Amino acid sequence: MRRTSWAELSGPLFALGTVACIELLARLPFKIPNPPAILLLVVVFSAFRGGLRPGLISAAMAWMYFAYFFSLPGQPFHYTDENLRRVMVWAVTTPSIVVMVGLLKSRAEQAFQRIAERTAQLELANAELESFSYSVSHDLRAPLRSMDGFSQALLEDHGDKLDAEGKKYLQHVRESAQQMARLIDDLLGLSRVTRSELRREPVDLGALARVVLARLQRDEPERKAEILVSDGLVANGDAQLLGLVLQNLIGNAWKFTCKTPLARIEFGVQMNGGRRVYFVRDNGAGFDMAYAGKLFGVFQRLHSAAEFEGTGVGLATVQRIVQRHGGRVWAEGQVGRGATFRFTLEEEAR
Amino acid sequence: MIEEKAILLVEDNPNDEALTLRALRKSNIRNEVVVVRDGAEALDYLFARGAHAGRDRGALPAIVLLDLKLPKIDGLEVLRRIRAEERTKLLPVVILTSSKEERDLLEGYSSGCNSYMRKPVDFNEFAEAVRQLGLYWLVLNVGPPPTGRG
Repeated sequence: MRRTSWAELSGPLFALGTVACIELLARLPFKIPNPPAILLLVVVFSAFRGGLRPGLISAAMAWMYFAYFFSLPGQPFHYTDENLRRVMVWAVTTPSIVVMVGLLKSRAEQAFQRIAERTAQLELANAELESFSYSVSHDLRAPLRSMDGFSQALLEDHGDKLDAEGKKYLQHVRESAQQMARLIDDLLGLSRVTRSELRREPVDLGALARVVLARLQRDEPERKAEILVSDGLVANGDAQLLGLVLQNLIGNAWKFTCKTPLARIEFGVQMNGGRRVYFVRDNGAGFDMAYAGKLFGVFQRLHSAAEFEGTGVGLATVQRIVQRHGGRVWAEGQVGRGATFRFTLEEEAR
Repeated sequence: MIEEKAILLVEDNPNDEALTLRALRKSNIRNEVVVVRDGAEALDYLFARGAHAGRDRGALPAIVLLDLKLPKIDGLEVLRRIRAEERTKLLPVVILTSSKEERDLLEGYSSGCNSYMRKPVDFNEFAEAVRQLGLYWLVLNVGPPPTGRG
């Protein structure tokens, strides 16, 4: 925090001093010094405090003031009380204005400077994140490709020298390499969500949801699920990012209902205190509310990979997208009874 | 009968090179594969200079499989120089790399690559991708007519 310094108060103090002097001089029996000299003093002060431009402006003001009040045609300057008061008013207001403007200017400059510094820091951090994920995306996958590729080559070319267990171990190596590749991709996706620009436009979430569901059904045509998507789910947001939200939430609902006999997935909206709250509800595996706080953490999973596969990045991505839209996401669930994920996309009134 | 043109593989990682060659072999692609290990060598080969000065300058490969992250001169720069040269500007170039970063895609296509393929981690997928790539670029695709006589 910044405190007002004595230097900044010098203008108003100077003005008060001038007033006091003039008042004092006017009360004294002898004639005061030349009012134009006082004007000159003020001009010098303005130029000294504020620089060339305020100096010029107050000089011009002094000239006009003097010309208007004190140099009536054919009349010499009179040392009257009236004239002295005018000089006094001028002597107070001009330096005050100069000082105040100078103060505001320096404050604004400082604020701009701080903004510029922060922006530079942010840009630096962003550039670092950018080059980090660039390098991750190029360099971290290559060794995985070797692990997977040479394990496969070993199985193909020298499989006869391995017994069943040996082959199984190599399969584990391959699966792990592929799992890590998925993790890297998901993490890169998460960081892309943070880096990409948010482009708001009206988005038909219902239509997006139907596309996601159609794709899921196409990949697993044998699965049967009751699907309910409400109408009129138009939101204002980034179409691509919101698509990712629905892909994850509906994808989860689809995944966690795969063992439910009469699967049911619902996507709709409810009004809550004037806000639109979107929800994705399923009657699948659900979760224990005791762990609800962990749901949206990166790499956090409430189910083992054997139960339901996944990398634990999906809901973290959802949360980040929703937060970037100024909204909030939360969930309710019960083991074996299903889960409901709700999100808003606008700033909440405080 | 047209002579079989070579495939130019620009790849600095020996493991990736071995895997790509294996995938090509498994796909029954019989064309000669010339492997160069950095961007500078790729240009030397294509322009028949440096270590490749003795090569027939007119013999261009059927396809260049180009990695992006390369020592000395990176893949995008190699691509730009290929496109800048009259004799090689129509040469089919397929970027074959690890990333699908937006920036690589954008710059790759802006610099005039003919195709962009991301190497999958799963070798079976990789082999299948290489098979399709070979089938398309070496069999189905009709390349540009020869330009400039070396």
